[in-house]
Amino acid sequence: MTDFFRAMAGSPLLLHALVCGLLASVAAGVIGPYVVVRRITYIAGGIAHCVLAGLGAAYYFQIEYGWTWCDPILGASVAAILAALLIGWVSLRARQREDTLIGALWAIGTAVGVLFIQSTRGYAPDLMSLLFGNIMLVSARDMWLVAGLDALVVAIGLLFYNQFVAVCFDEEFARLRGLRVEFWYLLLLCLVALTVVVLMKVVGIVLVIALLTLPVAVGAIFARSLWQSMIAASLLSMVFVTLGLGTAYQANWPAGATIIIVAGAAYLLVAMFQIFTARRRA
Amino acid sequence: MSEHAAGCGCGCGEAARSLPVVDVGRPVGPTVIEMAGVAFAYGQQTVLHGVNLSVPQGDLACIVGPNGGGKTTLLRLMLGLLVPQRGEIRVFGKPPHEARRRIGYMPQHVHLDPLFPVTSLDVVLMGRLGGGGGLGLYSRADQQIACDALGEVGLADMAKRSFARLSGGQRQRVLIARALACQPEVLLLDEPTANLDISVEEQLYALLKELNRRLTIVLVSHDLGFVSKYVKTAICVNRTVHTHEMSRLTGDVIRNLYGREIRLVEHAGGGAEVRS
Repeated sequence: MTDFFRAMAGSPLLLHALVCGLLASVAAGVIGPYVVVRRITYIAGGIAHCVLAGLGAAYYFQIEYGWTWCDPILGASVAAILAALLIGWVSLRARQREDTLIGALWAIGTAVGVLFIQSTRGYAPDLMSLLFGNIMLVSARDMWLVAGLDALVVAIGLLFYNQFVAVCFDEEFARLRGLRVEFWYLLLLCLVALTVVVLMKVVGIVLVIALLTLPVAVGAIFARSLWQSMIAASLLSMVFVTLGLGTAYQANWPAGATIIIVAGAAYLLVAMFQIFTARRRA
Repeated sequence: MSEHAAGCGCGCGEAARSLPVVDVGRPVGPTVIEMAGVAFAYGQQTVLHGVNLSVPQGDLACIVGPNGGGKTTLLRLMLGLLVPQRGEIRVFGKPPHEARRRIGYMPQHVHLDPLFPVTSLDVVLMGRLGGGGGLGLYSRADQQIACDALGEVGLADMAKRSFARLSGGQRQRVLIARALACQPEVLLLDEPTANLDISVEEQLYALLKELNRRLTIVLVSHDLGFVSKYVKTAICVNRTVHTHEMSRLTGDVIRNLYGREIRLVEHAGGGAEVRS
């Protein structure tokens, strides 16, 4: 690990990677608990995969038509917000067939993305690095964009904490108190969408869900309320990202997958510990 | 309102008719909740029809009847969560959704996620939502109101305790405290004693009786026999509604009422329909 930190001093790419990972940890830590308690992991997964369509389109127009302003992170953000609103609208309308429709949007979004990327001539982005992340390729510009999105997500997620908690805990009661439940639900999904964009830079589209849920699940043993869960998840996520990056650097493994392995191992340890203590108490 | 009508189905009509016609106990203040000719159906399935009732201020009314008879539907109509196909509902003289801020509502706690990380005080504070402002932390005044509400249900020392780790009876009381934190004029409670043992149930009704000194209360219960010594009015629901005053229903009459009620549930379970 010390080698990793020593190497970072001489390598701005490594530094960008770590800063980006730590920033993403805060967004995941604040939004993850909402996703877990509201049980919308599947919706978050759907949004994440629709992001591929936006990324693919942004690359396509940037390279094929020379639209230089058409940044991939911008394309991803727009696609994420659109996907969040569409999936949110579907889940509010079609209560019975919700999972079928989200599954369909999930697959269609991915397919559109793949088509755009394969149609882009010349320098085509590496599909693998979009799906599984390539944090070692974070530019300074990317880092600032991620920082901006991060600040936006965390600010809204914390400022309207009371409303989000009430809507997640007891939607009907919140409605009776005069809260516009649909508005808060869609806003929450938009925050999930932007968090997905931030996390995507770190671990890639496919692995985003793990960073939204695993730190929350591990933190659940300490957390008595949702804000404690947010602090625990943020700190744990930072630990996982740092350990994962260091290990990946040393062993020359893909960073995204290594981070998830670290988080997954911690989760399994905690789960086994809980089963063990529950059995001893019984 | 069709008081003491025959064929209500729950047997309370006949029980009431054997009484001297003396109306005491039921308050005669201004009307809080009023329904006239209300009908409601889920799709093709009629749940309630021809519902007329009025709940006066200061009443402690219990909605009773067989399962599937429309008890919860009636409560949800009063809250404006459901809209009737026919008839009119007025709460404090207004449509229910306009009167919501004057209503404290306690749902059945079974629909809440038992693993949700919130403290008791967090839950009660939700009763303070929607009162303007709303950015960031709750105000000190709101915190005080929530703490007072917890104190009123006897759980002041449980404020920081996780909601998930409370007993069933304590959770019910936290939800009552949340309804009180709305500073309501009327409390609507859906099966506040479901799945509780008798001694806890007894405590809860004693609490409601205490709260009834200043609040109008309407609650749903599956068990009229037990609540009869606490409530002033029984609202019997089985596709339609009949209201009966409880104050003179004692001794044999209660047993009669309770016995009929039990028999009716079996009867309805057999698929027979009870019409009025």
